[in-house]
Amino acid sequence: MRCITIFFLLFIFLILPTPPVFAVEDAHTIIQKVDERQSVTTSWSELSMLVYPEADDTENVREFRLVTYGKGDDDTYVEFLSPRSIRGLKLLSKGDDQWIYFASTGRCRKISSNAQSKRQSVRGVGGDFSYEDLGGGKLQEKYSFKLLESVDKEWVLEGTPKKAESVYARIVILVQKESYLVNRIEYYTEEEGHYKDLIMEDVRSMGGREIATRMTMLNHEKSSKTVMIIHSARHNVPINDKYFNPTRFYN
Amino acid sequence: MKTLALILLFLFVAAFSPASTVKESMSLYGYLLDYFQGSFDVHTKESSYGNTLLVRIKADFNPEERLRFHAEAAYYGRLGNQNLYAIYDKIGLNPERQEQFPFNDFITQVLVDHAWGLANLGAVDLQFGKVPIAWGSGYVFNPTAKVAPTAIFDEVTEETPGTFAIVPSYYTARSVTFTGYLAFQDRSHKTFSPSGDGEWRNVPFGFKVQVITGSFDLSAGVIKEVFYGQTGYERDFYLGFDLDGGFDGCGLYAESALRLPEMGFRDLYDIEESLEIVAGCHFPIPKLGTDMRLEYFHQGRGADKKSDYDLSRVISGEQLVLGENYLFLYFERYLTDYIRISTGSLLNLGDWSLVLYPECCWDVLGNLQIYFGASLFAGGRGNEFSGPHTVEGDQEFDIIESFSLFTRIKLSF
Repeated sequence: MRCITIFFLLFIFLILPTPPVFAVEDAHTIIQKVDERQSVTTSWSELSMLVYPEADDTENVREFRLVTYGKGDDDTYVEFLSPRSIRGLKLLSKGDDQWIYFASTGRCRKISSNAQSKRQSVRGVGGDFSYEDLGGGKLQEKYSFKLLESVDKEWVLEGTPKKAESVYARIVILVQKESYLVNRIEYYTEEEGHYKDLIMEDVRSMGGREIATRMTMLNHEKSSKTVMIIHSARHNVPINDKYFNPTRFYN
Repeated sequence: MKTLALILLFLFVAAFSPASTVKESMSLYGYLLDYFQGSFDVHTKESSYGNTLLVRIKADFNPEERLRFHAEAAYYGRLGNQNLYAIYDKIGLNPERQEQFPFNDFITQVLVDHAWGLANLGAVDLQFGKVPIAWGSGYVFNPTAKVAPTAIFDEVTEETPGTFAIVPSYYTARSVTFTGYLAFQDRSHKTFSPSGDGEWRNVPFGFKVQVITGSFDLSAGVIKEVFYGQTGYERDFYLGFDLDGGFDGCGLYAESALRLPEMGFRDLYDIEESLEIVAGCHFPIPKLGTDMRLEYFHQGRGADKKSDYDLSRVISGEQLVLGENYLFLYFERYLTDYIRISTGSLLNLGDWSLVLYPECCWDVLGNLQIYFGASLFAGGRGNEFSGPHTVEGDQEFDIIESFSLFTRIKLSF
């Protein structure tokens, strides 16, 4: 009987593949640290968004200047400063809910929280960052992760959305082992397959933290790209709560 | 008055021009817009043209973190069929000829449309001045917006007119907001001041509670509308309700205003006639790469038969449209990030007349947009969107062209 038990245990450990629960735990720990690394009480940043309708044509570019405020992991406020044609356009994200304010009409509208609406880029702005991409939220709250691969300096993890209304069918995320900074996120949809890539580069110390100051979103479906460049950033600074109130952020 | 407006505009520009000692918290911006339209009427075989030039200058000034000043001044030049005086002259609605007033300018207009200050006092915001008060989630019709004149087919500007008012808001920590306004002018925004203007009973106001809850934002409140119409001051109280959100992949909104019975006239009260309601939805059609919007509007006071249409109600601003029930349908598609095509249509469900307006918008540069579009009016004789119409039941006018083509060039600075 004892021989049978030992044989059974050997069979479990040697023959059967590693139970997935260990990989999930590893992935969970990594993503938790990534989220912790990115987590701030509040944040402020001023940035440029460069929209290239054709990724290879660097002459054909449209620049947008914006300022963003963040609170916790879920609340993000974005205000467009230029071009002048959309100056005053404001966007508030609180978890899955989003509101957009049009300065010209003085009206604030709630953005429908469905996948097709959140897949769109901001009206009048274009580019490859969708409403969902601009929204906040912790990675571990939005996706369930599993570890696909551990290479020399990176972990490769796959995330599947926890909510049905997610734009993406899955994401693949490459995390630096040393710093827990995200190097790259690959976005996949049911229709397009490999849809977009977000590449994080140019890590600098800004506002007391190491952050990627250049983020490039490559859109494989449109062959376009959008580059976000952070010019300045501050973290854990006091920010007026009005920017995160859906009935007040535009005042 | 016009001179004063010109002086204000001058001071406005001078004060905020880059040559002055501008702080970083000040900014001056705006746009120059030219709208050119050609119209043709298949019945009369007549055609005409019109042009509107609009310069709108906007300024923001933040003297300190919790204070904000915003102003917008506009210069209009309206010519041809874009000039109401020319239209009224043509159909004989102007009682006196413009030539009799050589010192009046019937073509250009300068006005300070918005000029307001906002103080952020903790949980309270206090806004005052000439304020754009844009209540309601409706896209075309806003039954709860009862403080400023509106137009449904304004192809020149989309700004909400400013109203002399005080607008306080109180924000609670539980996603509940109390907001209201006390206005000092009636909804017609008339440019003369009869003695009744100073009477307390002619002060319009509104109050509402907004709640942010789950998938829907809700608001409910009370509105007092004052309108100086053909018979003098009219005063009505409304219960307002508004909802904006989404459900199962579809954006949904609804807005209503229910006129309350007048004291002493409850026997004459008809709830159906007193109700204005908008209900709409918007959703993407992924296979067509198109967004669609559908909006239904019921106007209880509207005429249910075309023989009861009275164009003077629309001309005076008392009503936006003549009939009782309408359906608005809108499709929009982005061909590229910067080229958008759209088609909107408004159907009068009583007489089945229709206006259709396809449009193409091209963002040539970040600050230059060119629009091409058309307006097509269709319907049987005497219908709302085909005309002719009568004013106060006697004289017949035909002011609606069968179709028009337009371009709009907008340069933002």
